[in-house]
Amino acid sequence: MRMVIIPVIGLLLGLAVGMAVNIRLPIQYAAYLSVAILAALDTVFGGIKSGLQHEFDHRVFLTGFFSNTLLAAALAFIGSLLGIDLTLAAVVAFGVRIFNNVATIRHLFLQRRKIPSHQ
Amino acid sequence: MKPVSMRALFGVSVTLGILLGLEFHIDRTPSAQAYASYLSQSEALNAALARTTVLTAALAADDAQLRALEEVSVHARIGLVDLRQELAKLGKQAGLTTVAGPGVRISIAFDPKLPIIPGLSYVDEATQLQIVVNALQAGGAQAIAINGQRLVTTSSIRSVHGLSANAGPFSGVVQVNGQPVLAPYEIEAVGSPSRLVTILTAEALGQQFNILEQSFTVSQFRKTPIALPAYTGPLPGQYSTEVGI
Repeated sequence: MRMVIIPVIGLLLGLAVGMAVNIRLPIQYAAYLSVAILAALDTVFGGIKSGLQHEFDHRVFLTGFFSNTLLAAALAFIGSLLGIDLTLAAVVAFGVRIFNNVATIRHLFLQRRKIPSHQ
Repeated sequence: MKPVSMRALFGVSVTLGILLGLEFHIDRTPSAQAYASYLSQSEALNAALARTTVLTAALAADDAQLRALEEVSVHARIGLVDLRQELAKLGKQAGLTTVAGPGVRISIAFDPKLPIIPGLSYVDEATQLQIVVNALQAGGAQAIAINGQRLVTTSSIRSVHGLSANAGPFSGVVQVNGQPVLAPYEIEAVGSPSRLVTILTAEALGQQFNILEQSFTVSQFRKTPIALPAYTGPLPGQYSTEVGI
């Protein structure tokens, strides 16, 4: 259960800090920030899944988080330079991974609670 | 799970939360509205720039006008001072100011103690006074007054006949500056007392007046100045205007 509560608390804390910051970002940065958030979400869900599977490695988690986030933002930036919307590639890739991770987490929760199957 | 793993998970969650929070700070003004705002602000800027050019030109013109006015003002101020000095000088020369200084006072009056000339029926007192005044002016008198009537360049001394009820050849009245002046006459003159007395003596005016039965007394004021009033009568041009030259 701590695997879920601690990330949620951190998320709320970071959200409060982010909203409290008095800054005005131009719309041009919205794409970079969005794919970065998507990559970060993917990493967090991946971490939760690894933790539930008892395979969590904080080094893999941290490097994955920063590399995925920066790579996604860089991909969006390169796409804007080339005139190709590469953010779509990042969205699709991270979206699929997030869905897979969430599905795995859901299965792990269900197995852990030993809910009887209908079959 | 290890504590280090929990800390890593917590840190990443916080970072993710910050990224999400920043998402709320993105300015999502619609592009059309932003473009319209840009256009309106651009037009306002162009209008302001055009107005700035006009205002700068107007400011430069006003500045030049101000300098010109300041220059004129300085000249006018200097001219005003000069004109005031000239006015004071002319007023003094025209006898429009009071004058005080050393001088003489001549008293002329009928003297019954003097012997009467048989057959003398008329004495022209105005001419007598004019002779005295001419002598005083020749002696360098700076200002002259007869019974308080200041003499200026346009002054007149006229005999008046038939106004006096006095018996004998004396009318006892003349007109100075158009104003009646009654005997005894007192002629006051500001100037060098010694020079004025000298010329009166040289002209033998005292003897001439005595012959005509009039006392002629001269008083000198060397240390105690005598004061003569300013001329207050009409000036040339007061009742008329010049009609071209």
